[in-house]
Amino acid sequence: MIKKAILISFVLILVMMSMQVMAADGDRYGGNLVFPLPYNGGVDTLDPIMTNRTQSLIPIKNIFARLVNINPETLELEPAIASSWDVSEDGRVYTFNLREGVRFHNGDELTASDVKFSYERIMDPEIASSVSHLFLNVVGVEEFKAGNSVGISGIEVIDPYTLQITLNSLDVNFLYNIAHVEAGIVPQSVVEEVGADFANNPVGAGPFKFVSWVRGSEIVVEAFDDYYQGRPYLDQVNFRIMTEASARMVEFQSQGLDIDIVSASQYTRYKNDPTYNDQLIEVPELWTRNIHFNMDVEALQDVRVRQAFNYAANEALIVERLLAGKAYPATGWFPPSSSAYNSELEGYDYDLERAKELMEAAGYTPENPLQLEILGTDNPSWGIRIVEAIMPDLREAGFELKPVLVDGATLMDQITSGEFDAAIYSWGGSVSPINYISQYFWSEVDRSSGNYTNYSNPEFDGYIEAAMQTIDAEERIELLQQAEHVLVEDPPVWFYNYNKAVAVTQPWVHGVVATAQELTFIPIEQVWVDENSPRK
Amino acid sequence: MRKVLKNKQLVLGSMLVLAIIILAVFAPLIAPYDPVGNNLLSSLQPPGGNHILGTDSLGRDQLSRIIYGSRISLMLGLTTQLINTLIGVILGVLAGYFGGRVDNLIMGLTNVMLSIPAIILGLTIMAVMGPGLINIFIALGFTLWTYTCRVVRAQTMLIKEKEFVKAAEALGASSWRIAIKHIIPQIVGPVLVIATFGAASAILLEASLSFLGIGVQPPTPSWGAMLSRGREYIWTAPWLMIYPGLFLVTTILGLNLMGDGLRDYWDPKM
Amino acid sequence: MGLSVSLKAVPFIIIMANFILQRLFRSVFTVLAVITIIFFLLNLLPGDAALLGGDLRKSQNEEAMEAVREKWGLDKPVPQRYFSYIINLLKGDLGISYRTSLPVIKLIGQSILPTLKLAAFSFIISVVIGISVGYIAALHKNSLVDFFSMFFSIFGISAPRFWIGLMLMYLFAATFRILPASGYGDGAISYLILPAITLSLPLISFLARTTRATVLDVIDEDYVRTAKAKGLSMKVVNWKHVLRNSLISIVTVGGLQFGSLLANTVIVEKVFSYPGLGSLIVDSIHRRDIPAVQGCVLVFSLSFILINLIIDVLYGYMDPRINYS
Repeated sequence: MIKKAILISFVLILVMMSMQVMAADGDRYGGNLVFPLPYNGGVDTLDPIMTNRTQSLIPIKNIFARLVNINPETLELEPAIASSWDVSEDGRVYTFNLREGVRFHNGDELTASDVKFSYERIMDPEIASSVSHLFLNVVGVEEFKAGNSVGISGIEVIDPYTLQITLNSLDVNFLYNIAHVEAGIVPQSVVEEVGADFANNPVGAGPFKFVSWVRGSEIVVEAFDDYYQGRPYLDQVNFRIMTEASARMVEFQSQGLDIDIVSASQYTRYKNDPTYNDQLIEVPELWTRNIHFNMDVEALQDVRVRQAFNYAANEALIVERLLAGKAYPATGWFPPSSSAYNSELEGYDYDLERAKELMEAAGYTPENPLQLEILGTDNPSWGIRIVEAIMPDLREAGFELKPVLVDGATLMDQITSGEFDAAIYSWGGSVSPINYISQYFWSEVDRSSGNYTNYSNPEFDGYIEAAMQTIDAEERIELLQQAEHVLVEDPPVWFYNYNKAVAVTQPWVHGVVATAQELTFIPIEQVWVDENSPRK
Repeated sequence: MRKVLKNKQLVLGSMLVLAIIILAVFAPLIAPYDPVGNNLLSSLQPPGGNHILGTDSLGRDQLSRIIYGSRISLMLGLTTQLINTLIGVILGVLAGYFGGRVDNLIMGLTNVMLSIPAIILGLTIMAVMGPGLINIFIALGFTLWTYTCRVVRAQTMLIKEKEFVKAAEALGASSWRIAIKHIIPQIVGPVLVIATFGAASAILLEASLSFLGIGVQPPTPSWGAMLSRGREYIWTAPWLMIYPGLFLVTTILGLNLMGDGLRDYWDPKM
Repeated sequence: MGLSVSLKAVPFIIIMANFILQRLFRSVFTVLAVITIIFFLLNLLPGDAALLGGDLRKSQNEEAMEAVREKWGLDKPVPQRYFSYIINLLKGDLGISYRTSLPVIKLIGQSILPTLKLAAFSFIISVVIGISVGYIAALHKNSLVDFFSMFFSIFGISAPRFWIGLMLMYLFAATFRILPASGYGDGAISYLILPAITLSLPLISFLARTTRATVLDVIDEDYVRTAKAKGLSMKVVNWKHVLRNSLISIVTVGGLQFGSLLANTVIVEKVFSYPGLGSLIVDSIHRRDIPAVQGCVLVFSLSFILINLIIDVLYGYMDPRINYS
């Protein structure tokens, strides 16, 4: 009896608690969120396939839904519009089961033919999408691009809720490809009706519905009531284009912004501010900052020179002093949030003596230094000032660095054409661990497509190619770590740091999940604001 | 001379500019530290102590950088104005003296140059050539000459009609001789005034280009580049924004005052 | 300048029309030259436009880039691109922007209004404040008021605009919190104030100084002395004679400065994240969006030419001594 009473009261308490939760849940709804778009330049387009710039992808991610999503915390693939999928034994045939009743913002139902249409649009040579590499491995793409077939034969609509995609060969990256924000599903009927204007008036099936866009200033979206995962808490999100970090800080402190992306120069200030020090959200992002060496330059073909560079440059000190701790000194290529991260990798410690020895062995001394021009942009964390910072130590080791400030477009032009000694930049962004490393160092990749250093190491290639044929994820990661090991021994880059992305939120903002892929890609549909918000 | 001394603006302006010139000439003697010698361990120190005006994010002494920066600014003002004046005077005299087609052509060119905003032209030229001191001299030198050209042309047209020029022409002096002997000496005043203002705007324009991400090549200590980098520290290390700004404003203020004074000196009604 | 058209005024109108037509005809060549210069400059730029369809940090695909190049005609030689650009321009087609895939004319249409608003607002502020300050300074020549306003004027043209902008932002948005720091705010006037002040400060200074000089000149002129001698009250002399005569020269120089005001929106819009032509052109240069840059330069130079024309006409209207032949 007593047991029963306890049980009942326990159940009662549980019910009451859940009611409370539900009530609290109800309070979560409503309010507006002002979210900054912090990167250079405005938003170019709201058509997902016409850009791969993060600035434009932030609103796009919230307007469109995808077949498969990337879990913001674990970076693992998870079901989205496709509630499940099967992969054939040989890894070539994917069968996706779509959720029923998923609606686009105009009320139409999303079916498999919309998905097929969306993917074919990416591959249409006349549209010239900037992400047309995503489906290159699908059967029938060649014929489709040559204009010999109406659609891609490898993408088949079995029924309105079943889609089958057949690949030419095993591709362990494929699911990551369709999880790209750029691979958002568009409604066929709307796109065919409005044509190019779709970029200005997008219709998707994502959590937020497009409302308005003042070019260069603001994009407004509102909650989509029929979102397939339930209506988001917020009524409205205003994406404000704010590229000046100092202006953002003023706006945030005058409560005009609900969240801000913190730069290294502001990081200490927020950490020391009692109001905001527990409002900071930090995550190691999927970017590896580095100085990459042009392996075609004769002096740099000597591995001792590249090793010496790694020993002489003091990344830990730069991270601590120049970036105020807003980064993680790199030991290798995979950042801590990557599933292929190797915590046991030692990398290069700061060791000036060792650097000097190596350089001397290679025939260089401070009196007879190796002269290197290093290209860089004016980015505060991975731009030319980092080169300035390492100059004194490297001079001692036997390098004479000449920093060359260029704009991003010029830098890219010079490194893709191979006319450079070395350059500092930030690479990565890819969630697939194999892509994260292979796209830059696998010798099969063209210099213009990512292998900017023109790196070619048969041992490294061997591990990468083996990983590409390995379906088992754990085995694959082991191979990748071995490849990384080779990369560290024979470094085509100076391993500088992994970004620590930091955001600060107002005290009334809740539900922000640190997103390692890209901090601005936080799932805004999970964010809610309490009644202290001036916008609720 | 008394006229000069009575001209308060000229005196004050010249004194300010002179102070900057002294700073620039004796930079190695005055500057307490190496302007490009960095030491991360002493980064972002506030003014006071070992570093009177504090240090920047790389731990470089800001005072030394400002002192050496005066060299860049003055060189910038001087070089761009030499180029500007040369182009402006030659084209202006040609247009004013010969008139007709030559005038139409040159004025057409000036109109073209005037109707592309200097900052856009500078930005585009710099994007083509890449950042760097020489490049910025060239970009600004070829951008700002139109004003000189217009004024010189107008003055030349006036002088051309004067008795002594007519007399020289009657005596058979060549056009070149007339231009060099009779016209150019008459326009020195106004040209100098314009060049003084021009130097000021060149220094300002460099700062603006640096702000837009294209300026001199680091680690060259230019005031524009210092300001532009300092702006991200405006809330955390405001001295990086305030002091280079003050020196920049003082220099330009000096040049503008000097220009005003010179203008009063040559032609109180100009 | 009465309402009735006098006999003498008829030939004046004809001369005027002739003058305007001539100037317009010449402007066509100016515009053509501007376009040509900018076109070849931009096509010298390093940085393949096709590369810039996307984020530089992500891997590119050569095949995709080829498709983009082909789409924008970048695979063709520069002279051919130039001629097809000019031909399209004659048809009124400004081309399609590389990075937005939108017609340039549409892009400009969206950006021009905020810029015009900013420039016009700044111009009004400048005229009102500049003329008042200069006028007061002149009437109190050599007093403390005069000294301070003139010092402020020289300071205003001696500071970089982005520096002034950030300082104002620090004061009014961060410290006093009475104005928004940046943005457009759907065109609300409060968002316009800081950028407009930043933009107009040099023009205020310029107008204050010009007004002061002109007023002092006019005060010295005989007819004002006569008026004073006649016993008209000082106030009437001030407003009726002095200001009106000063306005002529102020309109001339001030109008010319409107062009520079427009050009300087480039910096101010960047500081205050204000959407407009200035932001558009800078972003487009960085991203090598050649058609968009071309379009913006075209707008800038057209407005410059137009403003000059208007000023010349206005000038002649106010001062009939000007010869238009």
